Amino acid sequence: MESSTYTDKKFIAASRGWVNVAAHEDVGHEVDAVISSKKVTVCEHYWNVPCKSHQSSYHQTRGKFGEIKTVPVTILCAPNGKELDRIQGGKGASELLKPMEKAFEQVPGEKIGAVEWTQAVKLVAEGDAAFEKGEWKKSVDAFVRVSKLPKKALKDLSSAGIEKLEAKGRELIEDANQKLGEPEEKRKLLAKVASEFKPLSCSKEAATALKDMPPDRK
Amino acid sequence: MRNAAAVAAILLAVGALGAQERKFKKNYAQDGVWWASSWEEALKEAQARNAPIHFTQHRDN
Repeated sequence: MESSTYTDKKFIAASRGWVNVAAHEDVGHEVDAVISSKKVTVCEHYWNVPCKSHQSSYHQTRGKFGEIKTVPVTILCAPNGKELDRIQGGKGASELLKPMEKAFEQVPGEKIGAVEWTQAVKLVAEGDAAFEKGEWKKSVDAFVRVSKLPKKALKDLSSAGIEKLEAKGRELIEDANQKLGEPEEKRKLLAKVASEFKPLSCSKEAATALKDMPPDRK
Repeated sequence: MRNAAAVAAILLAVGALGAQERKFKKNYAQDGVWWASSWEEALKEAQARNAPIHFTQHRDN
């Protein structure tokens, strides 16, 4: 199955709708390879993971699915890990795709595919990294892009990031308000929040505070 | 002391052998099934994505 089913283009495309787990106790199948110009060490049987991944999945699921009489076995589960269907023996891609389609339909609600999930998670990581560096505009852009994604579960990934950016923006407005004898410094800081935190609420608050400042006498 | 040095030498030799045994695979597939790094990670991701889990168990021949 490793060299036929899991390399089948149709199977690979369908697998993106699933979370895929290989449990295999034996190790020693690792090779060095280049994927997307990056040097990696991966298990030859399971495209993107090292042997320790399939080995730990094996140990973590021992006894979970009752008695496994023969291997290979394919077990299709709901998102909470509950078994929906079991297919015994080595199967070709077309033999697996039918029961997979059927099991997929048994899961109600909006599902997120692996491609859109990975893109959203990457954007969140970029937003977090920019936040750590104090690159507010870059961080805001990343989290706002996530917040505009079409599915609720994806939008929800942006909540924590947006929240910490709002808090940071308000902290900077507070810093600006402390600059009592330095109107020019205050103006600069408020302008920075108004511009770099756009379109967040704190940006609008900074713009209003800036507007409310008495005109520069210079 | 001599024993410790001998053990260290054996470990280094075994390690080097392991490194030599891992082959470089030319023309490795550029796309494939995205396998989760562990069952626990898979369960977390499946719940976040509301995606079903495709679990498969194998062993060496």
